[in-house]
Amino acid sequence: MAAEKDTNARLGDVIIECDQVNKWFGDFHVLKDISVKVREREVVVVIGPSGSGKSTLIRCINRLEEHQEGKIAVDGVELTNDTKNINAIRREVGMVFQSFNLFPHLTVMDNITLAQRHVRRRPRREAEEVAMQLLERVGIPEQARKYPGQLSGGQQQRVAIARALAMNPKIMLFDEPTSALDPEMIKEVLDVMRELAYSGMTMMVVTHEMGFAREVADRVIFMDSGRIVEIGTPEHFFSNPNHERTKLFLSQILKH
Amino acid sequence: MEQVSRDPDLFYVAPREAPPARRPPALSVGVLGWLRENLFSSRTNSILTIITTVFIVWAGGSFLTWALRDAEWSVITTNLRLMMVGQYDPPQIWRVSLVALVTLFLCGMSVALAVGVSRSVLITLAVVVIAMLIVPVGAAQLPPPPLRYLVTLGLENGPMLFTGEAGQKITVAIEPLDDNTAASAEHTGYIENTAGLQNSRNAWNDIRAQVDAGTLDLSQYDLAFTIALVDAQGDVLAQANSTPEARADSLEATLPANGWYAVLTTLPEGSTAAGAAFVRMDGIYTFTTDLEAVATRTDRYGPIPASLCPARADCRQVAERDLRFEGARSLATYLGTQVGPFLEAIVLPVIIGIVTALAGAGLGVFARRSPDLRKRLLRWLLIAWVVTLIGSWFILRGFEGSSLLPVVPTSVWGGLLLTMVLTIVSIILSFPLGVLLALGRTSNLPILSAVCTIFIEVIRGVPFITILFFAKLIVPFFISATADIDQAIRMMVGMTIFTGAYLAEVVRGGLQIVPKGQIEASKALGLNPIQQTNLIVLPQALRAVIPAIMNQFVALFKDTSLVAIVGLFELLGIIDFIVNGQQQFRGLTREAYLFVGIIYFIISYAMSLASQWVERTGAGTANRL
Repeated sequence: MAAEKDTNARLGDVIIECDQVNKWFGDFHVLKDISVKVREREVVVVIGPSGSGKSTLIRCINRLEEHQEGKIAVDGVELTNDTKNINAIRREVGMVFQSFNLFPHLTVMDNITLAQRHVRRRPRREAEEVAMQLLERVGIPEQARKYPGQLSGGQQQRVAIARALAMNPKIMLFDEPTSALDPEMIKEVLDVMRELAYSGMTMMVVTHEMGFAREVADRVIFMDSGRIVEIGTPEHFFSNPNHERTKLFLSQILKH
Repeated sequence: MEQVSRDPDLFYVAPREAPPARRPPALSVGVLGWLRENLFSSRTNSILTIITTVFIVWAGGSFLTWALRDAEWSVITTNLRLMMVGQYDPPQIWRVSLVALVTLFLCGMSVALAVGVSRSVLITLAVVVIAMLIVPVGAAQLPPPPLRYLVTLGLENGPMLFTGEAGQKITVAIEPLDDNTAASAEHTGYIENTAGLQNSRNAWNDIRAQVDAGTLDLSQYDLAFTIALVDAQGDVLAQANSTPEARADSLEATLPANGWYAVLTTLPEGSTAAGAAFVRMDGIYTFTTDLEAVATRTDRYGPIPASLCPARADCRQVAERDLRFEGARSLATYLGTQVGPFLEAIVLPVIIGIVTALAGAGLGVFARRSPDLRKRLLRWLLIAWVVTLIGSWFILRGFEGSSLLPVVPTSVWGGLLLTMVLTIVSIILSFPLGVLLALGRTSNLPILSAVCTIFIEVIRGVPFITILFFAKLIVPFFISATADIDQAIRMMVGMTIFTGAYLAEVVRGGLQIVPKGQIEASKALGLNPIQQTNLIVLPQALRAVIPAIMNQFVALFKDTSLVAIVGLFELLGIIDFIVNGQQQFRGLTREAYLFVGIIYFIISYAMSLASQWVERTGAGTANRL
């Protein structure tokens, strides 16, 4: 109870609001009546079996996917087809992908400064200073002049995080950031994410790393077949889930 | 704890200390080993090796014999200007040189800034320069080849015109066709050619072959003729009559005054002889068609006497004919008479070109030391390229009414100049066209996509030459039905849309291989669609298709020869003009085409190297790690 109070004091206003969101891929109903609110500085981990719509959900939040029904509002701006709104939201929302999606034709430094210079209109020198600070924060300042192809997977993902942070986002979305990594490299990425969470960043994380969820998440969302099955604190979620589907899922993955 | 004996094949623990790294074993086993392994590894391989070697020696041997003994490179040396710039006004050629030098300077600097200059490149260039300096100098040390005219007795021979100084001793001698063989040495004089030597090189070679083999029977021929030395008024100064019974093969005379003289060969009344011989004249300046040389000699010796040279064409015909048959074919003579003059003609331009390019490269290498300077120079270089490329067109073309840069219409441009201008302009214009067409075709806007698709498919479905005809006939209507549009510009339009359509498909292929994640990542960072295309998609798409793009450009470069259809003489087209349009070079097509082929190859290969460099630089390398 005390912990919950602390959490409530730490969290701010609602920053992401999904209300009755529905989405179809052709005839396939991928998101069904999704309603969820995320507050400032909150870390929400989304878990669920593959194909349950968790990636689609967070991709809707920065409009990489369009929802067809319902309402999504980010930082008070509702997502519509208005490109102005979309661009405004994308500037405030950073995203990290499963396959890194670094720009292979640019150096690490240029990957991080590109959007700062062309979207935020920062002068090159300032952008490079920001980039170096972020590279130090993710622990690879010595790689600045290399190309992504010369880095290990873990290093690439840390560059991707730095690239997203360079835009000073209010929200960070992580779409299975460690799923493409060798076990030895997962830790270095999770360490960076953990540090980010403790620094007060609002985060939505799709992951299969249950240890991370248990340790860092404020809330855990469990999705299945496009629906939200259960939302709860990690303590509640891992020790005493309500729903049969959740129990089944947890029993399956915690066996390993 | 109980000791269990374990099978070492199944259980193993590495020693705590890692073994030191070792070098890989040497693969080479000497020359013989290499030969055995690569050329004679099996029976089939051995047979293939032997057959191939025999073929190479046979084919290469006869080619080299021709190229190093029989070829007449004078056709190149004499026509170098035509091949380089066509009929561009000779006094205005400095404009071409200026443009070429500025371009070379920028090329050198660009290469140095982008990829640096390797030592091997410097060494190659140094070797080229030194070789070009040594060969002409060496050739000058050889005894000067005798100046000889080929006369065809029985045919109309014009006077062999020359200038001489008062008191100069002149020797005129009839020489055998081939002074290396006993057969002709015995029978100093001329050889009848019963087949008729109608300026035919094949007939000439036949005779040479017979003389070489010693099978030519000279005794049956009518060998009577007269040679005479006359002055400008036509008065005979000296004369020698040669008959089969009594040879009089040479005459000597001391010239009475500065002026024009001539040697005439005539046959006795009623003679039916027809044949060929050399007339050798030592130490004199012969008539030439070089306008500058004629002008100086006219200043010094007076006008060309009309009695000796009633029409200039008569004299020219005889005077230049010697160039073809000048050398007897020892290697020394070959170097002295064929290679030497050619190198002399190109040595200065080539060295100036190389030095200019190296100067640019030097600046580039210097700037590479400081990243800041390099960045500034790169920006400056970009501007310089744009200014140069646009400015070159106006410098070459000139301005109406300007005295410094009078108009040189593109209809007289020719040779390499025209080829390069057509190629470069078409490349520069077709590249953006191709990219825009590709983006248009892949666009989400249905009308734009349809228009681009139709344009691309129509252009690609039609032969290139049709496009050029189309450009020739239709382009004026688009601009103004009455305007007199340059033929060269029409051709550029044709080549640009043709190449643009092909490039569009190449670029579209490149666009397809950029992963969707790249666009998602750039969207997520807030880049707008134009920024996504310019900063993320195009750089990757284009880099992926550099080889295909370069392929298209090399094809374009070679296809410029098709502009012959509108009467423009580019590098290839001008050969016909040179070889068939000038009597004295008739039949020397092999030399001319070989030379032009070498130029085409050098430029195409340079383009290929450039594309490999672009591929190897920057992220292209890192991607493949």
